[in-house]
Amino acid sequence: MGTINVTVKLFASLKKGRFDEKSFTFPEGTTLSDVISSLGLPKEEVVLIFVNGRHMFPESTPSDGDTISLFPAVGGG
Amino acid sequence: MDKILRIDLGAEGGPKAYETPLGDYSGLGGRALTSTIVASEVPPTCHPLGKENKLVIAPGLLSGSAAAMSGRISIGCKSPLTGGIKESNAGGQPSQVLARLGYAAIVLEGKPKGDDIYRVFINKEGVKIEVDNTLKGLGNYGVVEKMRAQFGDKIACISIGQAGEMKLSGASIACTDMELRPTRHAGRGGVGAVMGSKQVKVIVLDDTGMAMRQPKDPEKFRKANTAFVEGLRKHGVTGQALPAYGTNVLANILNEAGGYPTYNFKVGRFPGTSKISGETEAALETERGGLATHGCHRGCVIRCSGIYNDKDGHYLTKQPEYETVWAHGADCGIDDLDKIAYMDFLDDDIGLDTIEMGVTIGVAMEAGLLKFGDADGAINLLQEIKKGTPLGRIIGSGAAVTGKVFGVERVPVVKGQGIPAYDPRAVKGLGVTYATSTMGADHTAGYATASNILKVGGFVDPLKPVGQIELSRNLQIATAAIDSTGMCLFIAFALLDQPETYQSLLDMINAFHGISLTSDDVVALGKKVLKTERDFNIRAGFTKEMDRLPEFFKYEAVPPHNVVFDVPDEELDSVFNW
Repeated sequence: MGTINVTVKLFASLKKGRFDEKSFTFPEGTTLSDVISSLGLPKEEVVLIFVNGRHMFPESTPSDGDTISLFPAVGGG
Repeated sequence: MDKILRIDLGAEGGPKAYETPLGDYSGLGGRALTSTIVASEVPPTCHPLGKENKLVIAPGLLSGSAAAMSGRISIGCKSPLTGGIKESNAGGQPSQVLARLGYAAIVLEGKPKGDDIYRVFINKEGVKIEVDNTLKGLGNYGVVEKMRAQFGDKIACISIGQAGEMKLSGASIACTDMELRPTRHAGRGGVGAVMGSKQVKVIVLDDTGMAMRQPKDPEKFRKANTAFVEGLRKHGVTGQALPAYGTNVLANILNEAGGYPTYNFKVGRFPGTSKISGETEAALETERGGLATHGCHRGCVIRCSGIYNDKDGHYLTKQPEYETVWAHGADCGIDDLDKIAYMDFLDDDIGLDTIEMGVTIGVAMEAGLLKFGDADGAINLLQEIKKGTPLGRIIGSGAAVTGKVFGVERVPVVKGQGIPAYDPRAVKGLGVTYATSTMGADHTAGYATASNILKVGGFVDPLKPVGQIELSRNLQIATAAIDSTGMCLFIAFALLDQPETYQSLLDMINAFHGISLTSDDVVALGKKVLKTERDFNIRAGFTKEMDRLPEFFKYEAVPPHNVVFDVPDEELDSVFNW
């Protein structure tokens, strides 16, 4: 089975003690949920998942070269 | 709060104050009260700066009580910027203080003869209106310092800076915060110009000796307030993100979502976002001995504001909001947070709407008057306004005027009011709100970002036209109702997700007033406010053709998603058909 390279970006409280932006290699077929678990992020804290700027659900699978951006609950305005 | 204080600036022999009972306006507060008074008493075709226009300042239904978050104030009039009805909403201390003084509203009416400017002082003894020409030409900070020296620090002030005195359509009205600084503004729609046309520089409120407003059923009220606060504390947005990072936590998310308008709405991502994001801003505030978590009024439990110090650790301004950082930042290609914060200070001092000013400077950059990214040039333009030069007066009149003067096609305004910090092509629900709101382009009028981007109150795909009309309609109705309570709109994040928190708000209103409002009644109130405002605008000459975005949003695709605004016109015309 092949692998995919993705960039993961963390924001607000999620990046505390972790990182801002980092590249990872995962097996093909890895779900966003798997990515979140592998980073040790508590699932309930990850409220918003973007892949290349589009909202995605945890069960979807990223492709090679994707940028995954993760946010906790945020608001303002 | 059973009476209205009216000040007739044009009375024979000089301005006179008189009181009227609430009468037909009984049971109304905040936006419901300002919009109903304006719609009933102001001729819709009048000149906004003329004697027929009125400036109505109203606390909300719960302001002045122990209810958490109840310190918002509504300021209404016919807008010199849009030509339609306006309710501009601000935080700070005046709402609570005015409510405790027993007034449901202050109405400034008529127009003075001569060019004197006035200071109004209100305390438990009554109202004093005096000529004070020493205030002429002062900024808001200078005015408030003089008031502090004269009346002590137990006061709250509502004032205008130089922009209001010059009656510029971008002029705001400042409300003082807990530290008696003029940092919370009724920014939008040029309300400051209307106060300037009444020649009132400052209203000083002192509630010494006045008690907090008491609920009809204290026990029920206390319980409801406790549940309400618990609900706000447990929600991720109102309990964690807003206190920790402030409203500017949105910069990164709108940027990631490709809806962060950059270089006068050319692209949806700004390369300098990380330098001006809420995370960066909060860290810098803490590092410099400011505050990253701070309320704008007593009784606020969300505390989304902060204190921004300069490099030497001295106070510069309050924490610049998301919209301000965007307007003076990404929209103008500026990534220097200190310079953006300085512009926030200048806007507050001169008395200008930060959104309108950022959008206007972006248009001036598009015109080639200065280059995108030129922070010092942008600061100079604000200084020109302060000086009252012809160029400054053009910029201070807003984006629509500036676009015309410099022959710019791409001018992001609706009904003459600058479009805020969310690209309507990539956040289409908000595009519907911008187009159809009674206020002109106003994100707070129906904050579809919640469901389009933040997944609060459900999810509607921001990049597709489907579902946006209903989303915007429901939010516009709910907002009109919340704006009437005196509550901060940010409670909506928790209300939309937690039915029990919504119920606790209803319980609190009911226990306070001894009524039995249901959620159907709240919807009916919101619809009534919107209908009243729409009706005023129609009588002022507005047509459905004005419920549209500028046409470039229809044919110019915005990267990275390369989308246009494609909600059909016929659908926009159905927003108010309920």
